[in-house]
Amino acid sequence: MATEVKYDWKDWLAFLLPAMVIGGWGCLVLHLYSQGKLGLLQHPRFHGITFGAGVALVLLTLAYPFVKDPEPGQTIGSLARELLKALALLLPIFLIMLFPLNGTSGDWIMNQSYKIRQPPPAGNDATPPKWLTSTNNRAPSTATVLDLIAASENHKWRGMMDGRRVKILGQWVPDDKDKGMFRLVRIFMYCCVADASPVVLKIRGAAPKEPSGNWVWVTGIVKVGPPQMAPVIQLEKIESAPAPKDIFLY
Amino acid sequence: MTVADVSQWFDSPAVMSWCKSFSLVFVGLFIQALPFLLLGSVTGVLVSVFVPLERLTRYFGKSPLIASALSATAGFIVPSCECVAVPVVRRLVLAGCPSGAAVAYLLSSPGLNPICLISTYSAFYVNHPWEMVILRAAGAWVLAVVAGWAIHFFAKNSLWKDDLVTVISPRVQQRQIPGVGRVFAAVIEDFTRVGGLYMAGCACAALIQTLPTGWQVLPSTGLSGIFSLMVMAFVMSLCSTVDAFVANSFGGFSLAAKLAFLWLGPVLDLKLLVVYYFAFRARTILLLVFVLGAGVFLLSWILLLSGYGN
Repeated sequence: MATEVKYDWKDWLAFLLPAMVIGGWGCLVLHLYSQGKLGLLQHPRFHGITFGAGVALVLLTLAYPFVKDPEPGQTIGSLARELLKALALLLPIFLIMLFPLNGTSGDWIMNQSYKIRQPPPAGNDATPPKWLTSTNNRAPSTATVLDLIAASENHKWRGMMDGRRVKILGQWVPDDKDKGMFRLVRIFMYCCVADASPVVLKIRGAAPKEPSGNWVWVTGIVKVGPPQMAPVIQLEKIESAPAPKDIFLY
Repeated sequence: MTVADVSQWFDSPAVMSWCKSFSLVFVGLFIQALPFLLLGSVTGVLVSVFVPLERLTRYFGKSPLIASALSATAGFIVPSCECVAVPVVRRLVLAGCPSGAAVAYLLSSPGLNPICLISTYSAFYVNHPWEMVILRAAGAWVLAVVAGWAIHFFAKNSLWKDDLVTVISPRVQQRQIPGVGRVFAAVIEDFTRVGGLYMAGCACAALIQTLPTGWQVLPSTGLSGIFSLMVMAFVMSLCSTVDAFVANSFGGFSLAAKLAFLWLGPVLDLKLLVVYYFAFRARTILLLVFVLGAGVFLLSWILLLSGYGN
């Protein structure tokens, strides 16, 4: 005759901890997806597969009680070990609760500046971008930091850029080498936030009074120097700006 | 130091800023890898439960050298990540597979498995994706075959610990009983265990990325760059299905150094050393450490000399 195994509260708690962990991870993914915060962490091409993993984790959590049995004979010591392990595994959730995702700080940008990369090629000679073809030079053309750096790689377009009035959005950080300049930065993400690297444009003029890392609109004149040198913007006007919906460039 | 001092230190803008940066990078790496970890766990469990490995060993033939090459290739056909490979390898040995060939499979499957190659392609999507996939797969195969031969010539009779059966038996027992419920239970068990190890790797990577000095203190050029990332691969102990994302985040290092990271990590790191300790005799472990360490360094050096890995 089969004997019935009796479980106490320690057995049940130890049994449910792994389900709490994977359920927590699944809910974290679905929460970030529903809040539109996944874009702060990874390239949009991964959002679908990450969402799928979140759904799969929640389903695994629901299936867990039906596919596994508790292990009887748990002690306070073994339960404490399992509890500590589960708390450690829930670290990403605690971090998100303590430090909500709201973009990249000036310190983070400065710390990443050693891995400044060249942006992808801008295109071919035949079709210059719209901001380079505007004939009204009084009204500034709106461009991104990436547009300017990428276009400066093209010999023909460098000439078209020189003297053009532009309006650019970015996060400002101080220039550690030249006090008469500051940097306007956009972060380019290749895959996830860990490989995100700053694309930097130098602005000649007085740095903003607000904290480093804040978003600003810079209006100024493009000055193109010798080949191999990135263009510099001669500052005319600077205005505070709210962070855009997509803080990264992809 | 009083509680007030600690509280004041935590409230300082520099510390808060660092905490936010750490949290961003850590959670970013973790979320990025989550789908691939899950895929890796599901595939590994399905392979160890449903694939008839005993039948495969019949095709290996009698020559141990050819057997090593064939079983290393099986790492692509019968994929399993490094954490579930030991039970699979034990089944191969019990089925009559030569020891060198079994080790060749153990070392090739983490780097050659399709999920690992897909994640490598995704991670290096903008920067030489196909080259990285091909070089990673080729390097993993060469290392596995050479290590298999080394085991055959120098340690074939003293490979396994006698108590291997008792060490890994419960997991193998569980997986040898097919059934949807058992598969689910094994996936959950695997996923939380590997997820914990990966989380430790993410924390290490995020710490190095966000500290004010960061990995700028590590030499990043030439041979010293290769050595730096080999040490990082050993310490970080990442899962092979997700390590490409971390490798790509090492800005300033050469492709050869990143490949050294991708070649070494799946076959030799801190967590695998623990796995090897429970499975192999000391002589085998020393031989593997030497062959794999020297092999990865040599392959990366050749790549660097060729000018391609700069």
